[in-house]
Amino acid sequence: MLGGKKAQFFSMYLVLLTLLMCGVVIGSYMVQQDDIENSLVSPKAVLEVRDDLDVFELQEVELIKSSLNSASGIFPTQDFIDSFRGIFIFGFMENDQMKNFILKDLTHEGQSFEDAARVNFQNFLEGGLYTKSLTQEDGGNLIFTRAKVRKSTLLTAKDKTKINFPVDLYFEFGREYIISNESGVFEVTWE
Amino acid sequence: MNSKKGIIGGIIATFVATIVIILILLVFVLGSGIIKKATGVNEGVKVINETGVGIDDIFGYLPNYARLVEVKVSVRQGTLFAMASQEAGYARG
Repeated sequence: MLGGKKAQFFSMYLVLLTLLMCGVVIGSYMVQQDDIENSLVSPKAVLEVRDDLDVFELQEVELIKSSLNSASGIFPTQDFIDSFRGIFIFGFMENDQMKNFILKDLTHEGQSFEDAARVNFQNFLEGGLYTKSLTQEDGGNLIFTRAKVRKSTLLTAKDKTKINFPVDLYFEFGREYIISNESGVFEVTWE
Repeated sequence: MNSKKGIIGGIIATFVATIVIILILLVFVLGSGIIKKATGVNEGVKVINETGVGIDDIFGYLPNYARLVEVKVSVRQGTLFAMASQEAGYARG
């Protein structure tokens, strides 16, 4: 009798053990699936920086043209250049959108330069971004250069609880404008 | 007599348990397909949806990009940037 009960218990034990093993396999599978879930960095930030640069340059060209029309002196003499630069720098400082774009995530030699440039913004424009030596007469035209600056930012994935790979984004840009004057009409071109 | 009953009972219990275990394993094997479907696994690889790779962000970005293109065209035609962006409804920046 006792042997029969032992056999019944053993049978039940086998069934329960099978169920337990199935449960363990399903559980470990679920855990494994959670572990391999990942979240990737969206490319949207890169596209938006590029669009913001386009907007900045549209406004910059507009400001160059209006500054040229307001400048005094004979094109392209030094008096004209000084007048043009003064008006341009003033217009730039008044435009918050341009100012915020150029300062955001600004870096210099691997270090953040945003705060330093914001504190001394006029100096940054006159002595860095649009250095006087980079504005010069060349064969009857005026060369007006925006020095290369570098933005740096860390792009992160939306869901940091999943496997994710932050991306260090560097974005360097600058531009050289060639300004010509044909019969009193200024033309601004760039490469 | 009792011993014989016990042996027969034991054999029957083992036989029933064997059938139950076979059924459990069958359900386990067939059910794994359902679990794979429920967890979004396709041929052993978990498929990431558009949210996981930021594609849905791009769908959100595109309408504003279209407006920026309108602004660029208007500016090229001589409209001032502020007016062109207002007309196109471009607001970023």
